[in-house]
Amino acid sequence: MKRRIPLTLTLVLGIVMMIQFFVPHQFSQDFKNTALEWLRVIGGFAFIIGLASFITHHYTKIKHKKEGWVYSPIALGALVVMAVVGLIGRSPNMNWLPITVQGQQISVFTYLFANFFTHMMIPLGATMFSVLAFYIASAAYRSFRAKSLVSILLLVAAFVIMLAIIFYNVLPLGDLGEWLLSVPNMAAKRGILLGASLGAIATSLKIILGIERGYLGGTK
Amino acid sequence: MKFWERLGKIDRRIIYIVLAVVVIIPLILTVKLPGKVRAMPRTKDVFDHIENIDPNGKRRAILISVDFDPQTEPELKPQLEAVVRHAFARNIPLLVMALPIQGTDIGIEVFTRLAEEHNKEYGIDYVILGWKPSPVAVILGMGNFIEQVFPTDYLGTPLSELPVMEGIRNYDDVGLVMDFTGSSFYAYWVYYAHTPYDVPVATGVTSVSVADIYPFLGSRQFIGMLAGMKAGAEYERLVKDKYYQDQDIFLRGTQALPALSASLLVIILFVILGNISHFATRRKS
Amino acid sequence: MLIPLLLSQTEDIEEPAQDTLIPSIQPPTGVVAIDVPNDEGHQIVVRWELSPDDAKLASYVVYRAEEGGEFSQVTVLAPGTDSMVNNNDILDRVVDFYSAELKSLKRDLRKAQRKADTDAVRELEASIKGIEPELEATRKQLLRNMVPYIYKVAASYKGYEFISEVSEPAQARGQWFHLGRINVLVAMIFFFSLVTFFISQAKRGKNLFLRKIAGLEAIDEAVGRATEMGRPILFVPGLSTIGDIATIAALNILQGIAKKAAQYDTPIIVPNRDPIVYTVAREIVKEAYSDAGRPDAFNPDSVFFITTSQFAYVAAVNGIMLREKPAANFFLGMFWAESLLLAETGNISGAIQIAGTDASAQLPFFITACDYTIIGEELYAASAYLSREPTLWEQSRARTGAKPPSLDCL
Repeated sequence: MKRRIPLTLTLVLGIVMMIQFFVPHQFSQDFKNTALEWLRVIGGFAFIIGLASFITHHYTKIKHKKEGWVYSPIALGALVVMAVVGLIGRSPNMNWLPITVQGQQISVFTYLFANFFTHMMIPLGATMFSVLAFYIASAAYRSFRAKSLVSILLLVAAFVIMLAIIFYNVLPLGDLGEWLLSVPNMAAKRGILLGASLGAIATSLKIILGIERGYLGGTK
Repeated sequence: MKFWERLGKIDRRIIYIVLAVVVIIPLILTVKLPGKVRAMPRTKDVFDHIENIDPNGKRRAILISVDFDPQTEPELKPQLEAVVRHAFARNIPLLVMALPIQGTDIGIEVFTRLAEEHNKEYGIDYVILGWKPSPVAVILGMGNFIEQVFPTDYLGTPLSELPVMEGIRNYDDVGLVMDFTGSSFYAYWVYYAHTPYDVPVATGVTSVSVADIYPFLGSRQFIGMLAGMKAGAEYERLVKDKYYQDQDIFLRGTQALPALSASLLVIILFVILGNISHFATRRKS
Repeated sequence: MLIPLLLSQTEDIEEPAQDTLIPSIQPPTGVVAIDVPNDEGHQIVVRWELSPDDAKLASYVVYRAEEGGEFSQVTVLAPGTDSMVNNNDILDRVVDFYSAELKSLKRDLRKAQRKADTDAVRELEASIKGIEPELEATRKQLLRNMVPYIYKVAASYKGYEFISEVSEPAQARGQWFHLGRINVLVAMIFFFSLVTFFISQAKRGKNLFLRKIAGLEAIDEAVGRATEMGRPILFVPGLSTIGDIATIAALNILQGIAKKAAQYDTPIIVPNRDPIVYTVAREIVKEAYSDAGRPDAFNPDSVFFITTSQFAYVAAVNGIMLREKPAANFFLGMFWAESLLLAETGNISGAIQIAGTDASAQLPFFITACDYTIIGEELYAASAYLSREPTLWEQSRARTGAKPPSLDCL
């Protein structure tokens, strides 16, 4: 019974949404929009559960003084500060504690939110992104070894593309790099796309028909 | 550990330090590469297309969509600036918009700076439309009437009052849609602008996305592509050689190219060292 | 001789002087209005033959009226345009805008009334009185279904308009079947037939073959390694939402891995980026422990939510990998730019790594940095592969069988 209800719901709604795709009528579009709204509402509730998990996880870390526990109060503090600053600062009618910035009166919370985002979130994200460059170097050094035919092909292709970027003026290399990207690469991309798309359809069908039940948990 | 084995197990921290030094030095010392940057065919396609736009003809405007955020700025900003300089040199009216909201700020900064540099006037030579939610609705709506999607510019001025918008109603008056994106916004422009309205579309993307764009290039859904920072440098060279030979302009991509090339050379060097170690130790064993 | 074809004049142009001749411009002809097919209604496409004097024109002006009603302007189009779609896209936004404004004004009015601020009340009431008729007028302009509309198109030249004949009435209506998607329906029926056929084959006990997928074969090895070393397993179910099929495929694999972890008493860590994925993953791991007969061994803190921010999530998972030093890392699902960050950090920590994604742009990074990579559709075959259940295996065969006709269609 515990699994029968979700499986039945999945079957019925899966078939209904499949039919909805082919029905352009207003009634069908209204149904789809309502379903999407329900999805957003469920997402909102799920976020509360996620938030509870986040708080519990870090509280447990602090309580048992697990390795790296000092970062947990910082994480919790950041959560509280950004939530408060964001909720107050981004509300159109809450102009609390106004200050003058560049001749304009804005709430200090609005000012703080904008600055936290621009001068902390964005640079931190950019920093993580730039670490990629270093990781590419170490991954390439470790992995591009001519151990087998396949790895030799990978190595040669990588060399050609990199050298084509550096020395494009050396004509054959540039043209070879271009050929590599526009012929074998394109063929492989199309193959993967085709396979993945058909796989996605098959998996969706398995889920709708209840053949695939792993996402529900349990094996029966 | 023997030398050859050690060569294949260099501490990654050494790799990172070498890479950091090799990237920083060309940027600080403003190293110039010998010879000129030669444009790849896909970059040249974009350049040639803009060259063929008649600034006084029917399809005279370029619609630029700034669809990237600060994280991908280093790769895409040189491309954007180069294309804008090209359009300014040819007096092509520019319409600027963004699909993600962060793009608006980047667009405003770039255009304000370049317009001052090239004596171009807002409202006459270019207009910043701003951002509206729902990319699909925005792109489809502009195929009907741009002013109905963006009744005003980002400053609140009605588009009908701006001289640059005179005679520009929808994609029929646009010679090229140029999308700069670090994610997959290029797909929206293909599906919802090029396919239903047959407007030429080109894209500037980060190097990681280049391989994904080739199927679209093959089917001519994109007329061209700018691939990463290198393409930005290539485009800068094309534009400078044609229109700004005697002017001293800041070529962001060209300046960063030595650092890019040096970092690639370092990676190639380390890969070679690793393979030397592999073959040497394999022979011994 | 100039023939006065003028039927109307635009408002802002002066009356011509007595001795000014009205220009002779041919209006557009053949105005046809038809319902846009395969939609929800509220759309009529209007087509016409261009005026022979199209090159001289300033614009075309399209007018619309209900049968027996007065004409009102719909839109102004550039010369050379020979069709337009009349719909409510813009008017809907205007209605929404006015409605929101009205709501806001009424809210402010209530506040002002509470504060007994008579000046503000007067101003707000005046604003509301100004907006309400605008809203009503805009609502009246909306194109309604099953209402006959007629159109005419005017050629505008130097302030004069030269109007076409009126079109036949057309009604917007919603269709119950999208004819443009019939090819999708055919493909779907074909594919489903394949699936049904192969399932029936499986139920008859036919011998099945599925090629080896190295990444899936290595799962046992990875879990065993973690057990021997007494270190945990890390499972990252991708960075996408539950709506992404790759995430569901990853969660299917999580079920098998969690059960093995429960049987061998190996700790498992499952950090999540999406709250809904977190709730599903938690249930899966909990059920896996129950199935293994060890419900008490389940640690609720082993499955947790971190953040929805992409790089913050990656930073957290990297920290987990460096602190907890898992012996086996599984990166299965949808990934973006962070794929190499995760895989390379996992490599630093010395774990065996199995990755699987259908994001083709990230596959090179996983192939370079991980021990095993499950590519694209192999991820979807995982649950069939691991369970060895015949009906699931036959689904994979159906997928393979569908490829040649798909390629032919392309």
